[in-house]
Amino acid sequence: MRLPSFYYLSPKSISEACSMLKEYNKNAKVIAGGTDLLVSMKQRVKTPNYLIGLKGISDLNYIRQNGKDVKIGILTLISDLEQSNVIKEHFPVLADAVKCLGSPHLRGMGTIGGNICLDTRCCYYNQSKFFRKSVGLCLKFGGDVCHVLKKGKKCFAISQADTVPALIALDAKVKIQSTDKEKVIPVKDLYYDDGKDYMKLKNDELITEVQIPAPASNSGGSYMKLRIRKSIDFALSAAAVTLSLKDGLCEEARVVLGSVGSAPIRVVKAEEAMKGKKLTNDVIEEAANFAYKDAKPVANIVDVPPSYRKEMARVMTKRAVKEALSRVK
Amino acid sequence: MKKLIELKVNGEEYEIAADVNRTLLEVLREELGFTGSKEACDLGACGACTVLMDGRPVLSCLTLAIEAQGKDILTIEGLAKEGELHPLQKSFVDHGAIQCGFCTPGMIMTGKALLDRNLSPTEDEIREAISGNLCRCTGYVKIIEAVKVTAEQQT
Repeated sequence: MRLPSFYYLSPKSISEACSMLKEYNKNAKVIAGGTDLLVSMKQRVKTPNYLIGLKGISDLNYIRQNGKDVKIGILTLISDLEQSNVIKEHFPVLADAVKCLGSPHLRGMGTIGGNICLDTRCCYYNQSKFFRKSVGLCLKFGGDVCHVLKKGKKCFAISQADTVPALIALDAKVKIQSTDKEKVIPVKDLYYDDGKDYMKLKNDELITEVQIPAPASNSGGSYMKLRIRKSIDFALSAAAVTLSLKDGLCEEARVVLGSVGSAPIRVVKAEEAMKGKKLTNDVIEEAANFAYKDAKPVANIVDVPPSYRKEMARVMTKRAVKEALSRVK
Repeated sequence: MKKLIELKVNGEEYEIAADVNRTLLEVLREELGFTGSKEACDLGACGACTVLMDGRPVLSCLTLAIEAQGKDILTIEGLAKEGELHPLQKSFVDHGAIQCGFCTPGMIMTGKALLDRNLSPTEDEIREAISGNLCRCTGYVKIIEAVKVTAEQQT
């Protein structure tokens, strides 16, 4: 499969990249690792006229520790995060997520920024042009039907990025730069619950850094991912959990589900169910029930019924809480 | 849009005029004649196109040739020295770790990257390293054996 033709632009600075994004507007796409974008382009899911390559911009690839806070440059490879002692030591939930992302090859090419911006996916969308034409163009592709929910008015493509639930569970933020300003917003505020228009980034905005606050003392985290094979595949259902203990009781908790909605789902009720309590099996079971209720998978992964993915949201949550608990330090 | 692209493959410098939408795999195979790296899924899911870039295994089907400039690219053709196979290649032959042979270049390049950074990998580490390389003859057992024995011989 050949890539469609495009003009390749190589900005030397972030502001130059933002100006290019502004100038070419929706005709341009940013390319970092390219492991997702180039696949979509080969399938003609995306056919941008311009590709803005970020690799020529220096100093976007770093993991810096500032006290116990960590800042990660947006071009940092997933494999660099995987090997980072800082991440392994202080942010086990993220360490888990990067370890089970794609295959070793994809991790050595893909970046944290690419994963944060990963397009939502659907078995009717991430297909060849031939397939898409034969079934009729769907909502996400600008058509007027949803093949998943026949009368659906909204696109239900799912957010399958592994690092995002983990980053939300860590209360991480991202630094966004545009042609005229710079802002820092929580990762959880980056996404719309809409498969088609899934990200709140404006045309000239570029994420340049991920900022993770220091973990609380006595805290632990875990990311559990269900997938068909142990490598390469996207998640069918996933849960990221962080929690901290005080005097044996759960002081703070985050439960975030992945791959069961168009955006990562933070299950606040599950967090509330654990806070202030000793995390016994019954309490964990109750929290996992809320995860089950909030998971909203639809039939857009081939051969995997949504009922199974919903049930597994409960199981993944339970396992993640137990693992996080065992890691508290 | 054609551009002049300079690539360093197996220690040799090459300069070619290629469209910017050509992948590294296409340029290696079609412009430079390095047909050892294979095109299979062409979507980053099988590892048949694996080459080493500055020592790390990358999928050349998902790498733009233009972004591979300035990197040290090593393909399966660059392993044998003066007609003598690389120990890993020899080991693949000796262990019958080659059935149809289509996944072999990718497997060997991934295996080499592993052995370059880890002199004595465990079986789990070998399995993990090649977990992005598919062998549809399902000859994994012998492939793992071939990598393991090469590691043992090296140390």
